[in-house]
Amino acid sequence: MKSRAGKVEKKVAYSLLIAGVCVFILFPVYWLINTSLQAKSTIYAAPPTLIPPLSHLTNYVDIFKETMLALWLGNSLFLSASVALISIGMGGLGAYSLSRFQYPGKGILMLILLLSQMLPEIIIAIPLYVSFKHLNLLNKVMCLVITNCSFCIPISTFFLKGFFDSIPREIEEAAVIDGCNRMQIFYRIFLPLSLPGLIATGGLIFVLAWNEFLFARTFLSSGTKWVTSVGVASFIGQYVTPWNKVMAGAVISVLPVMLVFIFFQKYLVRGLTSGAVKG
Amino acid sequence: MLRQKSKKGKLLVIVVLCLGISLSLVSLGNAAKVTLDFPSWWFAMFPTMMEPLVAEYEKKYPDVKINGYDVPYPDYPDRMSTRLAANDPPDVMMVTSGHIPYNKYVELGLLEPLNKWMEKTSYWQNCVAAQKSPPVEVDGKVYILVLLADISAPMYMTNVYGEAGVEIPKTTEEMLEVFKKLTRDKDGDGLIDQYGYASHLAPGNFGEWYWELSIWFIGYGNTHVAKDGKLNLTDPDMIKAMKMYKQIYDWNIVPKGQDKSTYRRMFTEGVVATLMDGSYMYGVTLDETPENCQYFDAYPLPFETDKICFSFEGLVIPSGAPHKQEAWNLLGMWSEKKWMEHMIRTSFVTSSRTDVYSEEFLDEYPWFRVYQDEMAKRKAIERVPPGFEAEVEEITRVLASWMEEVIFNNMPVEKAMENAQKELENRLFME
Repeated sequence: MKSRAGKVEKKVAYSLLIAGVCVFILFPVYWLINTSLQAKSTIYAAPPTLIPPLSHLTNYVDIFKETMLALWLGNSLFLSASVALISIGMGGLGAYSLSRFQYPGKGILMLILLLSQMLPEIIIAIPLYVSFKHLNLLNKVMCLVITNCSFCIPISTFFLKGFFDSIPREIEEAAVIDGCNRMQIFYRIFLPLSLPGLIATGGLIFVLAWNEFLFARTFLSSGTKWVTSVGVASFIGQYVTPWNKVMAGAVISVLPVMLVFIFFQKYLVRGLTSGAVKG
Repeated sequence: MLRQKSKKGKLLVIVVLCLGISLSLVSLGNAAKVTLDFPSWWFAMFPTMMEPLVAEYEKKYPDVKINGYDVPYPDYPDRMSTRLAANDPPDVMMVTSGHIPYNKYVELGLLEPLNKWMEKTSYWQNCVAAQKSPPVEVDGKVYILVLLADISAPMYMTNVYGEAGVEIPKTTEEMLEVFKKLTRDKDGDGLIDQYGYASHLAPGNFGEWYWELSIWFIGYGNTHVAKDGKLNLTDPDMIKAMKMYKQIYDWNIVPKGQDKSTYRRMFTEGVVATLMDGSYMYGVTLDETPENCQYFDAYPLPFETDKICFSFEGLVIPSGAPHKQEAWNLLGMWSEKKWMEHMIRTSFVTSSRTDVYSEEFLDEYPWFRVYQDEMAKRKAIERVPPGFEAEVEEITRVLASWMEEVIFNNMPVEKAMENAQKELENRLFME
């Protein structure tokens, strides 16, 4: 009886702990949404309005009317989708090579890929700016695609190598016996078998490219070329900042990422776990 | 037959020559079209100011087109520094005191001196003293065309003061009493509905801390955090001013934890009764709560000294700018009386040109007289300490972080300023 009560107590304590962690994690999200629904005069109200009236959903409509948010979302979508696809394509081939071939310098190559992730972005901002200026790519979303790919391809290579390593060599050998060449093995065996991994990696890269701010702010000058992160940050003014609209912009900019996660959730969970252990 | 052939050949040569000449003329015509690169947050913030200016410029100089575009204010320093470092400067740039490191640009030779052009203008005879003194002028060279020289004077809403039955204060003590009276629980629910004053009292934002503190320590007589090339944070005037700042916090007469943007909004709505800020706040009120503009007023700073702190915004031409003369033509046009008048009417900033306030304008906006008088009567001191322009970020951070200790952890002001002085001396390698 005593041990049963102890078990219940443990369960309650565990549940409370989980609830506490959830509140801790979700409170900023709640505050973001709450502020986005406030009128400008109630933002600073004391005590704060905890349940805002839905009548201020107009904040969301207003930012679409007053700014080029729709265009920025489109630019972000193009950028993130392009970076995700290119990184998966090129990273996949790189990962296949690292996973299945033995050649001199393979270890150094992996080290170089790893080093590219250790380089602080700010250090290469000016050299990249100069390069893009000479290539006449400044103020074009394409320069962001290139920059983001250079950071994301190594990530996808490492991630996908983990997934490819988990595919048994026997399947590959069977495919060779059946007459597949290397590329056919890659397309027909590796890609379908690591679909969850591809989606998980693609999702992660999509989010990284979506949230990128430093290069977008540095390379894009024209308002029509901005991406969402730069556009929403531009709401911050010299004299006043419409915090309710900044937060509404932030909520809208988070939505596509959330949709990506919701849509690919089952693949993401499978992908994140299946690559973790070698088969 | 041969003759005919040579005739045809000549004709062909003439046609080719004509085509060549006309094509080169066309290309010459295109080459003559100059595009002036001018990034500024003013394009988004004051379109009614910028659009007519650009239109008039392009009409006056038909071969020049202005590519004016918005670069948001918070991003401006990084964006411009990157462009200058990459040797891709725009033709015209904006600078502001404390926000954009113009002093570093001058030090590195990245800005063009404007003397040769500026001294010939009517602006030069009618500009504020700040235009001809450091940090705008360095070794006789003027690098910045100052557009606005904003001083921080107390502003209020007449209906808010009237409702509370308070008079305009004449001394610092009176002003603090007024702030206390204006801090009210109007509906009796035990919560403050109206604050007498607002100032930066939220942790973390060192720039805003320094901005607000400087109003007080300069107003209290401390020429600056540095005097004669030496830091003087332990100066009695400095200590006195910082003690007053702490008192304001302890008296609960300010909304705590609010950022500047928010308490500026609170002022426009009458929730904050008094603010010490620039004349542009009228423009902010006009945007946020136009119905309250009728109550907007200002009064002279009641500090007992003749000092008042100011900040400026201006235009510069990078030394690597591709079209310097065309860039100056724009600066020159902007500095004309007509456009400075247009600027104060559209943005309500305090112009650096002193002859732009017509009686008609001052009758329409009587509170502007206070700004004009204060600028004329008092010694305007730039927030950035002279001789320490390159170290301003460090000074700002150290002073603000020790003031946070005073405000939030009750450290004695003397001790905090002593620590700040020592830390800065160590960091800046001074004796």
